[in-house]
Amino acid sequence: MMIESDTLPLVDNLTSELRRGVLALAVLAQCRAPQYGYSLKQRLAEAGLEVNEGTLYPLLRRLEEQALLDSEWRLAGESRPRRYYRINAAGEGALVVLKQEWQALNHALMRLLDGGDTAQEQ
Amino acid sequence: MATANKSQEWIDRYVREVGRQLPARKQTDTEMEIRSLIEDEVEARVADGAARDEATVLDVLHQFGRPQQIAARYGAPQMLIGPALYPVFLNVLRIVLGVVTALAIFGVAIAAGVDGERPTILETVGGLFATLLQAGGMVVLVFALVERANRAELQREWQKPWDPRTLPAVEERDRVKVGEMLVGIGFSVAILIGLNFYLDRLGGYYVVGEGWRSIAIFGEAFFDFVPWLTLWWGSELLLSIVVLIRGRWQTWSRLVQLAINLLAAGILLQMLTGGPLAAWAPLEPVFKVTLAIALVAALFDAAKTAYRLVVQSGRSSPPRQVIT
Repeated sequence: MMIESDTLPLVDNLTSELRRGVLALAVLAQCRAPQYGYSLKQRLAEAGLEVNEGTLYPLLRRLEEQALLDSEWRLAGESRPRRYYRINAAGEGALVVLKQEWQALNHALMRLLDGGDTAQEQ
Repeated sequence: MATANKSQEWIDRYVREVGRQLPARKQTDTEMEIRSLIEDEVEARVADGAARDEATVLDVLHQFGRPQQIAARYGAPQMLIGPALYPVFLNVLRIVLGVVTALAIFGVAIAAGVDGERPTILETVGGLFATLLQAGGMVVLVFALVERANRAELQREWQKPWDPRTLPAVEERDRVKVGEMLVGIGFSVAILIGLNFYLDRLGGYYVVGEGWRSIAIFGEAFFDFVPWLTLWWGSELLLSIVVLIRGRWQTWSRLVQLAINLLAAGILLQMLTGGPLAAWAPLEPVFKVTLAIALVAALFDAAKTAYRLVVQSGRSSPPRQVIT
């Protein structure tokens, strides 16, 4: 199906919202080992989840403020400081719940999307 | 070397611009983190073969996005008045602006009626606009301070369980309140009778010797307005009776009400700014103050009717949606 050109920005926005919604879950899962901003961005990109810097980095701080991640400054190379984030016990608890929620959501959505296709075909 | 300095300057500028828009407690830490993140990005590109020059740095900064957007995502929600306080703010703002408008018109009317000052329309509107702006600004400031001081508590309140049974009843603005209407009709009748049959008998009565004497209250100039006042109150009476019979306010009846309110305001303004209305001079200021109050009330009623007309016209019937 072709998408009309004036619909494209809207689809882009919706895609960004969709990604933002699941980003916290992906970040928490990846922070079981200490990660700094860029390394996390790379890991997500390698897994197929490209995220904008302006979205990812503030999210790390927000999760830290919500006490789901801990952070510490370490020296990178000679003198440049770098902030590392790591999931804590509260974050692990949240991750378990979020993972279950994601699985249920995914299951429900797949059924809805399959149903939608069937209805369209009829 | 010059390029390296220039690159560094772009990073400094970006970091400073983000930091400048953050709350003070977050500034230093966030600035340090953003600088580190930018450096990481630049380093990664250099490792991939890009030159460590101004163009690379500018491209990285461009990718990070506008400083305002980054700051908004790092900082607390940037709003003067949040959703918890907003409905209260709106109500208070309406009341304050209404009262201030009434007081300002009252002041102008008193100045015109008692002191004989006649500011131009431009001066009056300009003065009123400035006063409203000031009053509105004060309300915004007060609410912004309340929001800032109680943000955490307001957010907790906002997240508390909510009971739909606390919803206020919907006010049916178009339905006629019979009691109020009957009182209004009685009042109109009394005024019409008083104006047309007893005006010359209204006055101060006292006994001298064996007989009663009286002092008239209303001067000649007042009597000139009797036909106009009769037109005003007669229309008011007629409209009230028709609306009472129909049981509801409709667009046409609100339009007629608006016209009567404006007619009333015009008559009152003429009376206020014209010659002396009292037969006894010491009563004149009392007359003028009363007329000024009546003028404010008439304008307030006109504004209220106009507002209801606008609300009524904006309230279209919802489209019928059929799910098949």
